[in-house]
Amino acid sequence: MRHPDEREEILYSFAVEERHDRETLERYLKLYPDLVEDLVDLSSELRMHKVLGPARDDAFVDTNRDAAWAQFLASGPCDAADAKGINPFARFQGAAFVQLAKNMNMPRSMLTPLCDGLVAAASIPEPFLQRLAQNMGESLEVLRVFFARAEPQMSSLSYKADEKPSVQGQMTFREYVLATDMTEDQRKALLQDCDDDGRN
Amino acid sequence: MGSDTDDARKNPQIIPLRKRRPDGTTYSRPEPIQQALDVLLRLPLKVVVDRSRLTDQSNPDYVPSECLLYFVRRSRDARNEASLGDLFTILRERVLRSVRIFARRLPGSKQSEGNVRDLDFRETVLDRFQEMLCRDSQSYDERLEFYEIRFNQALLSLRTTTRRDVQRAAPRLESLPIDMMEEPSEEVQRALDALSYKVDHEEMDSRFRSNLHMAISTLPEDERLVVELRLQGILIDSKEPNTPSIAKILGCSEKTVRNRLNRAYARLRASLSEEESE
Repeated sequence: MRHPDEREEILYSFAVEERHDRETLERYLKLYPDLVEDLVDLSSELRMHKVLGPARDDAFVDTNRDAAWAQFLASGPCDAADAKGINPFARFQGAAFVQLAKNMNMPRSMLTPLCDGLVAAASIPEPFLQRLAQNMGESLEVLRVFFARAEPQMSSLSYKADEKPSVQGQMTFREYVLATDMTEDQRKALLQDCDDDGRN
Repeated sequence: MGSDTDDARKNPQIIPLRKRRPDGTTYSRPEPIQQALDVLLRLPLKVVVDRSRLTDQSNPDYVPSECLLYFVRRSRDARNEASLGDLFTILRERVLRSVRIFARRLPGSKQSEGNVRDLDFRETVLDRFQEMLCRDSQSYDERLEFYEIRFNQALLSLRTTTRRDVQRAAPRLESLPIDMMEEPSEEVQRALDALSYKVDHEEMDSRFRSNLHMAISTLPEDERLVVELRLQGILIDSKEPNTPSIAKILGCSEKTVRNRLNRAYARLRASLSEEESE
């Protein structure tokens, strides 16, 4: 029997297909014959939605809104105290880490010292932090708290590093940019972040 | 993202989706959503909130729900809490609004089916959506990526799984027995062919269309399945090994499929006659 999570995933995949014609339904029915009732049900819902159009403004009251909001706020880090125990890079292992470095247009050997707390937090330029937060889908607050933690640590490497960093206490962001092997374009962009920040 | 700095507004970077299909390819947002995000990310968050209150989807400033969700997921910054709260509220309203409340009547019955059950269902759908939002807040719930691709369609999937779970817990009201009409199955097939044509025919009376769909939704499960598959244009049976058919999909004989269609058609006619007589 199919796990409920897997069933849910398949139905979501079907739901977000661009077309819901006979061919699409037949393809899914062939791939997942055990889900025929669910797929036909969903197909019916999609058809009804298409035919009947958006719902009119039914009168309703969201009676649980305040409680839901409190729950939502409590569920994720919104302030520094909550953010202390969070390692935002935990989600970026292996190929995900490589992709993150690529998205940031920087070598992995520059990203690793950041993860390991080898870059002085105060020297990390704000524009760089903004961009990193966007690419990680993370809040600035969480990143700031993470980089500001006291003890630098070596990460357990889950990827092949371009270059092993030399650890001798913390360096500034600019110093790392100047010392790390990277393309001139990458270096120029990262130094521009420092210049735009105006603090280092 | 998380603050309205000049830098972020000048060069917005849309965080790409990470969800992969079974074949390994990564999902991507439809182009209109990408374009809408590109515009919205250049605006102060308060302007995004104001635009999110618009309900007329034909308004060029209307914020698609896919974009609304993008902001709710990624605006976790203490400085934005008030705006985030507004966006959160609007998002919940849209989820609630998407769950239709039907006044349903079974063939032969004079009573409306439980509206209370429909309201419970609406709350359950919203609760499940809330659960995903909270889990995502902690550790990135990938299911929400489906909602960033096609929000309404993903929500329909949630409704479907929720409805089936609710029905398992509270058994569906059984249709009252009706007089079966003896009709040759060829006639049934022609009637459903006409039905299937009429279902999507734009000139069809919208009330009739709505009543027809609701009537189909109240059919017993085995009858509803064959009707839905027939409406998709799938053959009742086929001797060709590679041609799908209702009989093959449901693992039953052609005769069984036709019997179920006969019964379904009789119920639909009875149900629609009752609606028309009111």
